[in-house]
Amino acid sequence: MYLQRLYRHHKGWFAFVVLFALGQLFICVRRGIVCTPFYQYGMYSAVEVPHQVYHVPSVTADTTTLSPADFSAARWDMVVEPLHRFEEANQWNRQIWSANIQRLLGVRDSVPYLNAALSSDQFFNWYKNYLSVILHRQVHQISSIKDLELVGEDSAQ
Amino acid sequence: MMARRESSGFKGRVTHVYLLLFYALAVYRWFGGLWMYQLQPFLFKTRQDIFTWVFMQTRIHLWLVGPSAFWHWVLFDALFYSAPLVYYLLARRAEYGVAGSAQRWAIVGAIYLLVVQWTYIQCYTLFGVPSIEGFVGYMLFPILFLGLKESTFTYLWEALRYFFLFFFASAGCWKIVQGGVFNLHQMSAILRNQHLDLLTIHAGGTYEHFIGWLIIHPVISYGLYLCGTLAELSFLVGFFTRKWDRVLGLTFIVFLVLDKFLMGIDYMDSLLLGLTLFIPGRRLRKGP
Repeated sequence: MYLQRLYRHHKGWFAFVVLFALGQLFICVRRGIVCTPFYQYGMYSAVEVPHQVYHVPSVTADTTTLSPADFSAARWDMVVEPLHRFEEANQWNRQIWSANIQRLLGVRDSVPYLNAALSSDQFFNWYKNYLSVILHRQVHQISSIKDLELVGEDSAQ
Repeated sequence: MMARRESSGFKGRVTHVYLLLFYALAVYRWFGGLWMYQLQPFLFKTRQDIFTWVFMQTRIHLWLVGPSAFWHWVLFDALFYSAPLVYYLLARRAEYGVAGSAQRWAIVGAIYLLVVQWTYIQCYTLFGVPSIEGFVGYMLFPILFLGLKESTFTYLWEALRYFFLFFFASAGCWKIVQGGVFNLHQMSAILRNQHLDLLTIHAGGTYEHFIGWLIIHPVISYGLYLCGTLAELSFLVGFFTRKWDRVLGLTFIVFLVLDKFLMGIDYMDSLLLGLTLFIPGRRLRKGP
């Protein structure tokens, strides 16, 4: 058996491997919070149902409405994710900070855990430059950012 | 006494393949616009990870925020993508050194690789969209190199293989525990969520038609989900025999390709872990 052979070979590495395995199992049983390098690999395992309302971000840079078909999935995420993060305005970070980090780590300074507060102008100035780099052309104006709201079962067809 | 030359041994062979794959992935990531300087970190998202919370106390990630941090991003990329090479050069120096100092060089290289890769992945995944789970290979591989002896390295290689089997098989188990596999509309709903922007903003393409077709045929899309789950569960067999390792490895590659094609999710970085199925560990004697 592997563990027996490892134990005979080197007790220190045996302890390391056993502790690693136990840590991984603990994180799986415990659920919720993880601890690098122990994660739960349950992506897309929870039951998914079609929503009644979908929000689809749409970005118009100068005169062109950006299409996800012109980007890889990862690059398109780079286009729209900052909008989500700005829109949620630290809500998620603040929630984890107040519910868990403060209590479990006993720290008082929230600076490392929250994004600096940004005005709309500050964000969109940055976003314009950011998009310029992604699109490889100068973006002068973000003229329209909207959430298309789609209602009903057939909205995605 | 001269240290034993190991570049032609099992550890050397694995190191060479690791380097080749790491740099192939680096090129792939660069073309995908996924290096840190291309990502342009700005707003981070904290995750439910105790290690990350402690790590964030160092405030290293704050050093990467904002457009004025361009050279910080470049430095991070340079450190991350050069670290395996630095390790390799130090380990080679170790091969030709005197036994005592040789070990020191090899261990310094491995620790350097470990620290750089962990730091980079921690920061990168705070700013990027991809979840940290897909990068676990980058974080675990350097631990192997801390095993200085050939035999220790081989044992750790075996441990990494078991971890990889768990990584994939547990994903299948979660789908049973959480009920996804019992939901006939599962894949249809996932595809709808995953491709909604594509389907609404760019509805006319062939690919979009195909995805739309899968969405309105939930039984067919569920069949794909079920096949994926069975493929994940099939990795349990690896805990009992190595006979099917290559088949499992190929299954994994097909899974990654389909994941990218159907879901738009890129887990190519986990190919590093997949190496454990393609390079069988050297047989070790049962005794010490």
